[in-house]
Amino acid sequence: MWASQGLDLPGVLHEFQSMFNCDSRVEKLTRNWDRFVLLDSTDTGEKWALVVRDRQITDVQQVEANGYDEDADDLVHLQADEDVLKDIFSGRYDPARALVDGSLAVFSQDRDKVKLEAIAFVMWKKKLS
Amino acid sequence: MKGLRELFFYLSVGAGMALATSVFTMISGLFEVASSLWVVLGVVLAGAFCAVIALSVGELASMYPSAPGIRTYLKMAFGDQSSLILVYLYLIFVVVIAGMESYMFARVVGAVFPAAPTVPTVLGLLLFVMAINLAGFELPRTMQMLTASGCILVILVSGVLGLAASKLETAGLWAAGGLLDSGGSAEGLMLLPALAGMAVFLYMGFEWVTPLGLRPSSYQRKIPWSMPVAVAILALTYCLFTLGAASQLSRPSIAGTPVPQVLYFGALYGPRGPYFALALSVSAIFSTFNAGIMGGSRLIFALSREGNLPGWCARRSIRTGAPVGAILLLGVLAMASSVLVVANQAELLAAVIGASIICFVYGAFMLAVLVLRRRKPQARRPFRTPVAAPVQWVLVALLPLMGLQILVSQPGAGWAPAAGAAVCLVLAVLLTRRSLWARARRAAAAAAAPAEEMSAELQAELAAALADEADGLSDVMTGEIGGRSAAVDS
Repeated sequence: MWASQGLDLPGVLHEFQSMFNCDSRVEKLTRNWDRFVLLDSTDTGEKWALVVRDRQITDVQQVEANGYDEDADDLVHLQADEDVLKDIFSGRYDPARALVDGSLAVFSQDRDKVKLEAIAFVMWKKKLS
Repeated sequence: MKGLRELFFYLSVGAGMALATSVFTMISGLFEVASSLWVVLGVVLAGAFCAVIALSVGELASMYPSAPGIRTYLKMAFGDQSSLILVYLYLIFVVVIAGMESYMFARVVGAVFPAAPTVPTVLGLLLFVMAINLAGFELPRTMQMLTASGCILVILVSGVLGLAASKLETAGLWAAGGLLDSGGSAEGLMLLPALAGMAVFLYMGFEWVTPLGLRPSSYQRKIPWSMPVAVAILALTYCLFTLGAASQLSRPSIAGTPVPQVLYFGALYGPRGPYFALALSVSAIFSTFNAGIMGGSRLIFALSREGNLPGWCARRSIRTGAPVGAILLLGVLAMASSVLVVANQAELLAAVIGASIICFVYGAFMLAVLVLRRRKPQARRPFRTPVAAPVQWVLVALLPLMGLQILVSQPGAGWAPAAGAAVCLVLAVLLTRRSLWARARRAAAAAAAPAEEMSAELQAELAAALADEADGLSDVMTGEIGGRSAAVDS
């Protein structure tokens, strides 16, 4: 249903990084929001991370199975099939809807969920304009 | 946060959401229907039902971790339309209870400071909580744990102290004859289902913990088991409060006030008692309202992004990300509900209607588990409720019946509860029809319009939104565009 277009997950994430880092609205939204956003593909078992520092995604990195601190305060853990993650980060699938559909799980503080939804929202708008 | 501390956090959320000021109003309502022994039996029976329901909700939560519970579980089990009716019923219930809860808080304030005007107190409280949420503040987890455990501890200790210093039924408190001060056992047994249905109100909200899991493994045991344990803690707390109050106050005096905790604490602690009651109410309402407005607004936001509610409900602050449209909608509706409750002195009516609605919703949760086991037998379920399927079927049938009996069990209330519940149901059905109609219209427009035109239309909306910002609304994003684009892309 949510077939992504061509790119693999790291490709989608690097494209997302470029959009994220040049968006002034996202910059406003991520003030004091330094996070380690872990993307956990439930079907392939692959894990990737977006490192958000000083309002920028400074790194897109592959993560080993135990290569992150599960108890870290700055961890935002997203879990979904790889295609769903690709569609979310390419702006084709609203994460708020993905949560309702049960195809995405987010483990974090409530405010981080709110922030993620807002960031995705801004990115959608950016894509439309 | 991990280990026992993590479990304690989930317990405090589950128990803290249920433990509101209005539970004391419901206890007063229970005393209006029956004497203390039957009230205790009703509370225990409702607790047992809720523990079973909680285990079913735990199974659903393990299938859909972190999802906005009610919408996802019911949508997956029953499809869009039935799910929407129940979700809207649940939102109406939240609004009704928010109104009642703020009124009860104002009554406690009024008992301590008689000069305090009710309506400004109610509206002031709601505005304060809205402002906190609009500003994007979040109650720290430690604070949540402290307030919830503090409230429970105060009530437990007060219950024990009340029993120890029993004034009324000192000699025969534990004798059934002493507690069954009116009505025989046959009459009490007849009333027991309604009492248990009403007492379900005392536990509702335990399920709000389901989206809050801190890690995937939390949904294997901690979240699912935290709910029945929270229910058990609450059952013990309410039973001790009920017995303590019955040992200090007469049944008519408990039934005669919507804030029996003020009377009880007054009897127990003297002139300082009402201040204790006020402190208890402040901590209870703060955590309940904060979590309620945040959870409720996120549900409204999600419904809006699905295209079920107008796009403005999905407005967000660009600075904090807070769902301002949903918070304002929920806050304004809660204020209107409070004013209605205050104007009509309808606190018990609101509680009875709320309890009836929640019986149906909880019945739907239990049915959802059974339906999903048949429809998706291979789906991943890290937690399965240990309750046997036949027992679950019995509760599925029983809960709606209890919900109906509640509506006709309140002495002197006549048909008002049934009429009120019917109005809520009609409203939920109308909102569902409106949602489905709006989505169908949007889908038809998306299918009919060439992509370029749609894109131009969306860009025009974007331009309008940016113009709004230039007029001073720079903090607000419009959800309409996101909702539309979702429809277009899908």
